[in-house]
Amino acid sequence: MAAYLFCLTAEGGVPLFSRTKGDLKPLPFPVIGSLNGVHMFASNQAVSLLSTTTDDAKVVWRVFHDSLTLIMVSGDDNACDCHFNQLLNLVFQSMVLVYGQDDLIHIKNVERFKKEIKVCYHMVDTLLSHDELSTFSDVTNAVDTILAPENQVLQAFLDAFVEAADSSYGCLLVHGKVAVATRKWWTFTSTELVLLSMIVAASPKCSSRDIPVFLPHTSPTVPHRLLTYQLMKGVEVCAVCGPNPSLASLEMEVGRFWRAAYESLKAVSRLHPRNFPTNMPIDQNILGFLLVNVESHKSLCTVQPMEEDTRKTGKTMGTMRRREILRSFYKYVVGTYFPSTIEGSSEEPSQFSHKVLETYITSDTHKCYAIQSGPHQMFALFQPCHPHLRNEICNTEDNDYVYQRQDCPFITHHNLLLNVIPSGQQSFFCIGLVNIIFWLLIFYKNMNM
Amino acid sequence: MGEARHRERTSKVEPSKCHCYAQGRDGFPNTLPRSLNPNSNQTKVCNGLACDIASDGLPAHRGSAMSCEGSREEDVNNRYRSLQIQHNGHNDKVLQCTCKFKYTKSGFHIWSSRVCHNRNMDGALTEVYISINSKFAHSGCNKNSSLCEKLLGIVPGVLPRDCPVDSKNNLNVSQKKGTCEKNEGPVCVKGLVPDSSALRCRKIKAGQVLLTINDCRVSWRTVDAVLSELQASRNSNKVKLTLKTLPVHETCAPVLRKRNLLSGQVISHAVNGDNCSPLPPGGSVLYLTLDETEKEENGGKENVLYQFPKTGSKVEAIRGAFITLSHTLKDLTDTPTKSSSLLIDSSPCQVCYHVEGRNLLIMAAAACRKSLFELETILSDLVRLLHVLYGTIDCAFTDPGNHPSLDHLFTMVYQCFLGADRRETVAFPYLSCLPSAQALLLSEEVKGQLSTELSSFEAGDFADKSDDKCGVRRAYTILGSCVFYKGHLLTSHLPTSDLLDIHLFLAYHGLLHLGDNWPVKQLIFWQEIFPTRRCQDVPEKHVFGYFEPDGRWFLLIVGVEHGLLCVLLESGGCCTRMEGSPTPDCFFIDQAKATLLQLMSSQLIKHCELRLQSGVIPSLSADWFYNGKQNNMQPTVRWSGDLINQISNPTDRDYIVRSNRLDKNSPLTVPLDSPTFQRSASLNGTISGIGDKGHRLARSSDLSGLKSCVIPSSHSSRLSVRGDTSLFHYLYFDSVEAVFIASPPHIQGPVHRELMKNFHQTCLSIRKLFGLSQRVQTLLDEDSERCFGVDVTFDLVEEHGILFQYKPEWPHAAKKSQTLTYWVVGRVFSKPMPQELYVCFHESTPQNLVELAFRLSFGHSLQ
Repeated sequence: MAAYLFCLTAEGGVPLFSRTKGDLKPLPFPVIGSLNGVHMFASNQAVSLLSTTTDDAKVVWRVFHDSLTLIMVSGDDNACDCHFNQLLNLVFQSMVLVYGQDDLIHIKNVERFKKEIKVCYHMVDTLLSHDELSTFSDVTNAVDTILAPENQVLQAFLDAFVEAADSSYGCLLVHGKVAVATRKWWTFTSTELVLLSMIVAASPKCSSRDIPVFLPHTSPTVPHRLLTYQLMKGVEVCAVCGPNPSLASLEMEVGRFWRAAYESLKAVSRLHPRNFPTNMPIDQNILGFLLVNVESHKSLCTVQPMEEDTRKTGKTMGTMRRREILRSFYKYVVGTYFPSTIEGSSEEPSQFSHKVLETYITSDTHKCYAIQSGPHQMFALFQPCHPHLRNEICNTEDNDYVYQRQDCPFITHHNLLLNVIPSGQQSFFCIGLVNIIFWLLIFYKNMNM
Repeated sequence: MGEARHRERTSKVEPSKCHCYAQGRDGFPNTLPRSLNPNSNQTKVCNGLACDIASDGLPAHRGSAMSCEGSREEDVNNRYRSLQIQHNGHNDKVLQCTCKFKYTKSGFHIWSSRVCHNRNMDGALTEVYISINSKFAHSGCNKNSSLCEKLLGIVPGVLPRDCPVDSKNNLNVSQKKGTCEKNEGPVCVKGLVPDSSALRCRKIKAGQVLLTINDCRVSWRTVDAVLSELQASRNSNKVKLTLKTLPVHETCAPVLRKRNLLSGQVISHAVNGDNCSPLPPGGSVLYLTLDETEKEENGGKENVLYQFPKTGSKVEAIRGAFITLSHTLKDLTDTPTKSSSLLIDSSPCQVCYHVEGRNLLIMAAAACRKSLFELETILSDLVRLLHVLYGTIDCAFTDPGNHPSLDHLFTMVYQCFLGADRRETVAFPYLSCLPSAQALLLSEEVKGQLSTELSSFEAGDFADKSDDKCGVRRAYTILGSCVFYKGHLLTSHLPTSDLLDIHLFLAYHGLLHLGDNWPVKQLIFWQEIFPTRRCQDVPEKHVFGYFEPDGRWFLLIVGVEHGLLCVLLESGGCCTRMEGSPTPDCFFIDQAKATLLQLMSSQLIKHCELRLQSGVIPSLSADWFYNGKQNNMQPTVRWSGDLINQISNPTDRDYIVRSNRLDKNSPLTVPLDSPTFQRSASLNGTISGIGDKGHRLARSSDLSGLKSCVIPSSHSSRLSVRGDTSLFHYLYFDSVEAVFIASPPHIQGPVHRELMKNFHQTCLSIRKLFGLSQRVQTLLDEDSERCFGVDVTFDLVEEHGILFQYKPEWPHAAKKSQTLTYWVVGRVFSKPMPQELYVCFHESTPQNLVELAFRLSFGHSLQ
């Protein structure tokens, strides 16, 4: 969806920069001025204008630290305003990440600021072109992960490497998704986790980088160094460290630390874009899913759950479209039925007097299904020919079907699974395919991460 | 007899000077609001609304009054009338409301009123000087009129002697005894004769007691003597009257029973323009213009053509922002601005826009009260309603004469639709977001009868009043009519669009709600309207050779007790085109009333009540899962436990199917010939074939006990047709007929109420999604380029479901068996006609049955 983003000073309404996404004509200043003007006018009257929708579009205003006003005009996502706010928040935090909070809050020289703030453009553009991203972390506020059996092995390699970098913050990224990270890395806030993964993915490809970063929550004013080294195509190891060691000195060590892990890394890399183990069976009809743990801020997504034989199944939905639908469906459900960690997303769900457990939408071209249980939320996309969704939940036949399939290696995990599932979840007896996967993945994540 | 008298009077009426009469105990104290804004251009109207509420179901033939008089030359005084309403509540307590009615160019509106408890007027004596009408020329008097009527213009009544100020013996009681009963009771003012001096002096009010005439004490017995003496003497044209205002019992408030609190409010709003209860904060309506306005007219506020409430608000303070926004965004996005969310003093607030040419209508409400979607729906409904009532939005707002009635309308809207907190709502205003009237499914036979009666009325073939006899071309053609009973549509002979217009009017003026909860003694409404079908959505292409006649349209609503008959009339076309502000024909109103009374036969009422009580499909209350808990915890636990076990065991899958089988042992309370029974039977017949295996299981599992424990005996009569059910609630909406049917909300209980609230809220959500899907489809069909692109995720949505879980908060409730899990599912069918069905059912319902139910539902047509 096309979008405009305007950044102005909150006090004087001086335009600082504007970004556009999609095929949109640049807006004349008077239009930007009046958009900012109404907001300023309202706030002078102690009214804050949050958002406005037209039939097709939505405008959102947000002021950060009484210094910057961000205005976004985009197609209406038909969802809770919290998603637009989340995006604007990410935009601002990414500016903090690159530019530092002090300089953002106290703009001394506007002209100079305009020139300098250009360093943020690549991050802002990445965020704006979110539907081209292969990850969902920008909307879920939970960092994308890749689930591999090798992760446990790699953890040891990573810990050792990060130690050598005189740091305790490090992670291994596979195509922009976290495979493993040090214990300390997970203490970053969700926004930091998301942005750190994103800045690596958004930066130009190179074998090693040394990027100064201001961690928006942990250290917004003092910069740290983010060192990244490419281990193989799409696999990068990152470490956040202080003044030492230098990029070059650590680069010498990279080979020594990671050579032994080559096969494992290769195996993990091969899981992209499936993002979860190949030995985990998945129904043919599932076109993609998104699993979010709102407590640990981790998410797992896939829109290519398996190698598709187009000759057999016929042409199916393209991956871009799947991603788009999952994204829209996520936005529709979170903030309407499910609460999330995104600011303001729990208002509407709390209006219901009873808790929403599951929801689905069926249409001619696809079916969407969402379930939440404890901290986990899962959003799945199905083919339209898939039997009715509620079947999944209500009929036990499907369960048996999964278990009785000879090629299913998870029969062995069956008993294990039952132990993992929280005792209150007896409805397991009634759940079907989706839920099986849901629980399997949670189980996996519990074990590995 | 009443009819005959009416007819007689009608013939007396001169066409140029229209008078409608009503006799009865109510009169028209001539109170003139100070805020009157004279407008000499306004011509006389004779439209009226009178409602008289009597819960004791007194026959309405002595009806209260239809106001109405006036001629072109009449001064503005006649544009306001007030009417007293007496509600004889329970325990014979009286609630008196005075409402003033306002005449405007376009019609007649309740303008303001007050519930008069006569607090400060207790026993107050009023002295009034009026001139005697010695010529007996009160056009309202006929030969049978008493002297009091002829001379003073006061319709006399009598109060029991022993308790002249005891309100417990209200006027009705004495009236019932008959005015011929001669006793020593004092004379009371039962009503005022139209066009009389008593009416003009504005000090005499119905319900007052006439104590003296020229300082001579009078009673019922002596009044005639005194008056004839007066008439004979003729020494003075003026006569001095002393009147005493009867105190109304102060304890009339408890009359409004708790259940009816909301409706009590509605009544006081329907008759009451005063803001007796505070408006919800954050609510405001503004009509803004970009054009220059004269500052004096608007109290120094630029751009504001209309403002509600009158006190300034934050929303009003930043009105400039809304104007700018609506214009900027229109240019920027090519689509009109819909809504904004604001934070006013850190409390969220929603604003909706409607652009009308260069003007802008905005409506604001606190966000915690209503979701944006509801507010948008209400605004678009209001816009339609204003179009219907005034022709155009501009007309409605630019004419200051309309402002009082708009104030009243918005007060109603804010208090009844936007005011109530989501949790406290008694009725479900969510239903108002469906563009349809709630229909009551009647048996074909009853429906046929209704239709026949209505048709014969619509034919307009009234023997005495036929064209031949009068020699005048008839004034109106009846386009169609519809009948409501207790807020439910019984039958409609109107095109969908007209029905929607009328339904909107009834709903937003609280009349539907009024009829739902309070028996109305008589209600008459007459107004020129501008039907959407004729004035707004006029199709571009006409069918060749046919044109809809150009005319004027009038809405007549007649209400008696719980029934409402709405008639849409056309003037022009095949009948004479009325000029000016025509009046309703008394005869016609009588006919309508007679028709309604005829329709509301005891048989029909019984039938309707049965349907209202039990519904067509029996449903389950959520509380029955928990009611057992206090008394006997075992059964509920066993039930849900059993059910889950049964489902989880594939061999017992037919269990549910079986349980839907017709249980022949259960007592049948629904008459065998009723369609309910037949439909259930056929449905069950279909299913029982599948469920043969279940028979065996029935014997093995303890089902008989199960049923009786799940369904408490007090409810068993309602649920007896089927063994048990897993349906909590349903709502079926047919957009072609513009009606919806829903299971009656007869089931009470805290959990169920929450469930219902959730259901309605979820329905809105689902409906919003369906609307979105429809919009995406049209956009795709049009193939129009949208500058921001179209999100096609929700294209062609068919079904949307949400699973809810309720865990009771009381201790020991942690067990799984104590949780209640239920689905709310909405499905839309676009073929053969757009229909929507929303169901709320227990999680245990197997998929195949749900599917079957959906299919059956869409096979079923309402009309």
